[in-house]
Amino acid sequence: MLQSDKSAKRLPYYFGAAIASKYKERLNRICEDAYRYKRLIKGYGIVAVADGLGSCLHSALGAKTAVYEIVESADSLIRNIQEKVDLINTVKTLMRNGRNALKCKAEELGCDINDLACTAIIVLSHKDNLVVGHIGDGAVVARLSKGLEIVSQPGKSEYANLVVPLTSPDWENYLRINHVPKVECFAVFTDGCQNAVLKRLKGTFSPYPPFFNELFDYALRLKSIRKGNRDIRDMLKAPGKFDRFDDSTMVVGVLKKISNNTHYK
Amino acid sequence: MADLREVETIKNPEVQKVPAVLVLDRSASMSDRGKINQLNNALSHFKEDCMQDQRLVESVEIAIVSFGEDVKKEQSFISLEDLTVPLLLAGGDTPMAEALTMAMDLVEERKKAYKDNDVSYFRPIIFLITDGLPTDMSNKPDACEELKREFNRIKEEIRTGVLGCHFYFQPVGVEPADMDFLKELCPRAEELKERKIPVIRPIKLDEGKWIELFDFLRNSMLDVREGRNFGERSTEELGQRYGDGD
Repeated sequence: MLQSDKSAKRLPYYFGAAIASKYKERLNRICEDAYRYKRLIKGYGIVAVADGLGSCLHSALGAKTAVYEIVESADSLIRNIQEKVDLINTVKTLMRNGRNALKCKAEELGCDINDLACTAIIVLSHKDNLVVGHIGDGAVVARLSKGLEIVSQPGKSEYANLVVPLTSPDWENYLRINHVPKVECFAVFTDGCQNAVLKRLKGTFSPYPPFFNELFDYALRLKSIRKGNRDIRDMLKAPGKFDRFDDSTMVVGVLKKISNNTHYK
Repeated sequence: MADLREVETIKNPEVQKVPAVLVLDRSASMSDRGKINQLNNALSHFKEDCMQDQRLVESVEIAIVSFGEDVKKEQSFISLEDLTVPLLLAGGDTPMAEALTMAMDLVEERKKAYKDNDVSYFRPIIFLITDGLPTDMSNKPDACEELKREFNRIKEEIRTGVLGCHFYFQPVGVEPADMDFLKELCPRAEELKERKIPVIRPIKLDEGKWIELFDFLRNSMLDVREGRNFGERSTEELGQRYGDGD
């Protein structure tokens, strides 16, 4: 998570945390979720979240590799584009770059790309326009002027842990792209958070308003990114809130404020 | 709100279920060398042990099918808390095919119930423990046609179930089980590898290692609960994996 500016005065701003499951904490094992975010030039911003598949040998490294490449690629692409950025095509390119990075990493390690399997969620924004690219589970919820909306649902599968990862050869068939304008703020999170914040009815999810309203109100009032990171981490670890049997990651982004001293640069 | 730790999340959020069917041999030969007593003890230990782990208490559902003089559904799918461990008595033949058929039917019914009630679940587990050759199916060339047909039917159903990711299947052989038979019951390693499904190798249980066997089962169910595949753990504490598979 890279932001040289630790204050929440410039838009967009982000804060978040990833925590390992209770079981992994006890055994001193690493979290297999990874996230990265960056405010880019000209009012653009990028968040990438990935969840390594527990059954794969190097999944934690896969998740880290994917989010690193996605954010770095976004930074480079946005800097070098002269005209207006096509957000949707850019997200597709970023996802492809993330996958290519996994391929290279697999070659470097002398292993199969599947050993680095992970899900991936990309949130690319320009001012209050949001485009999400999503493979696997986890979700993105946004606050718009009309209320809360789930921008990207968890991928559908029969089993709780059966996802199509980014490393799958037909990943493009499973890539979901969603574009939402006029977003005030959003939260992107891995499946470890899902059950605590999304209601489920006949396989379709919807945001749990008490949680997201509080979270987004907090985000809009936030002054210090460091405090935001700490508070999200403490929230994810708080007893009885989230599924501590799984790694949990949540990143919140604020794209627009109605008033006072915040601006895009 | 100043403190995000106070934020309201969904109360009693849904827990994904881990359904497992134990298919247990109680044929006459299980009375030899106290095997049936050891199995009964190990089953009780298994429940008590699992009850110590909140992750399992919340998610695991167990069904038990036993086979010997008849095939009996000892327990439909039930939570660990509500599970009454049956006391198995040895006697009779080894109607393994009928028991496996009952287990596969129980799995499909449970999955349907989950879907109907919007409950999310992990891939079910069918865990077979036997000490002998079945009497209602056979892979021997000189067996009668009916027994050979039944073997082919069961073998194909297991193959379809495993390759189609409908369930995990793990056979365990206790001396004097025919390990070649159990290996032939499993889908071919090449087919599984092609589809990136973990290769199944029957476990040959070392004498007296019943507690260790159920510890393996408990830990393997935890693996599933945490998003890993069933059955990839080492079995060196309890026996050998039989057959190449690599």
